[in-house]
Amino acid sequence: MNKKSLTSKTVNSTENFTDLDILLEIGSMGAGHATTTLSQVLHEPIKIEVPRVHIAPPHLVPRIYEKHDTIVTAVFLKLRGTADCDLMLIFEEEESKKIAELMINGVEDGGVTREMELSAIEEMGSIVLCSFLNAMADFTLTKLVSPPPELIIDSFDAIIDDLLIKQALCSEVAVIFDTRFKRCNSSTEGFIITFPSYKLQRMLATKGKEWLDNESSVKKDALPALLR
Amino acid sequence: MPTNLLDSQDVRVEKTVTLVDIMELQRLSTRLSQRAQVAAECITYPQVSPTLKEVRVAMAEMEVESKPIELVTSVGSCVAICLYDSTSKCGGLAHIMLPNSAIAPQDVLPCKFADTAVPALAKAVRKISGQETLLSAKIAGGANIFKFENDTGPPIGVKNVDAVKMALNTNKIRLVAEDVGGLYGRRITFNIGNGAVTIRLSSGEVKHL
Repeated sequence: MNKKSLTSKTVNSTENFTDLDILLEIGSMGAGHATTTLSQVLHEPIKIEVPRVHIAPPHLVPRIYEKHDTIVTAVFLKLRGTADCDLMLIFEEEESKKIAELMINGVEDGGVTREMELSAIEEMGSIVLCSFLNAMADFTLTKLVSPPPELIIDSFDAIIDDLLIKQALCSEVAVIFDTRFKRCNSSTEGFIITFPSYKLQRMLATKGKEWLDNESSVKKDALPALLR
Repeated sequence: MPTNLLDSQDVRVEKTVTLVDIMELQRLSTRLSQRAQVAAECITYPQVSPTLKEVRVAMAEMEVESKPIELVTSVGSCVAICLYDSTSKCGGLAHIMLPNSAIAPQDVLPCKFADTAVPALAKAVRKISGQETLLSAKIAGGANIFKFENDTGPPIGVKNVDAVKMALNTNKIRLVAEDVGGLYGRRITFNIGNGAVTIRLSSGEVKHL
């Protein structure tokens, strides 16, 4: 029962639970790294919700967020190469302004232009998302080289639907790592949404299993040594 | 009897007073209503339609209505198809995701694909209106949100729009207006009462189709 509640309501997947558990664990790792980096950049504590993995048909994903027309600032990173992955860091417009102000600390009032604000957000997004990727690359021992990020300001649904279409083109279900966090003195949430491609999911799952097997064999070997 | 007389006089006086009052009131009210009319002509109301009930159409779904409400959806590279029957004032909105149902033949959602959504929506609109009238179509969406597209072929938004136009053509539905392409998402409001489509961009710009 507990395992079921980790996924969204509309689970419609052929994945078995061990694979899902591994994905969730890796997603949490990435989310942990990313939010730690964010906290270091902003010099502020960040509250993070327990990361989730949603496995749902692509067209039902907007319902998970219910943010339809909210204007958001999104930093988008499109990873191509050994494994495809789309990563997105999303803030509501007001929140992104505050974060930009925090980053450009020390500039006098009125000295911050819109371009500086956007550039700051883009830079921060790049740092945060790359640390997410780093965590996954370290785990799978692969090289994940990211291109420069892209900054988009648009309504939530419009941004997300392009990514969902891509997922819908190659599979019946979309797998999403969903991380939600808040700055300590802010009321609006930020999101990190990750769309790992099927190939990357498989890579993560197999690596995870290998790691688990190694771990258990190490434990078996270690036990007699301890008893000795 | 004097007391009785007094009474009757009193009553009569009262009656005349009330009559006068009523006449005065009537005159007053007509004058007031005339003034109100003049005032109403002077005030220019902002061009905002009375707030109608909004129904959100989710991704890969359609909604058909005969009551004067507003169907709302947000699209990026998806396409919103609005079909309208102006004689019976019925209409429907479909939010499609992909151009061709051939990539997933076993999929059960007709409104996910352009080529299946158009006939399904037309059928649903004709069913609710109860007549085989000519429908008119307005489409919006098909944007290219992410600039860094370097995949082969045209972006998915363009493919979606082309597929929708082709499907409208094969189903003999006239395309009245369109607002497609670009690099931005759109919020589409389809007023069933008059068939007007309003598009709001994230920048605040408003377009009427």
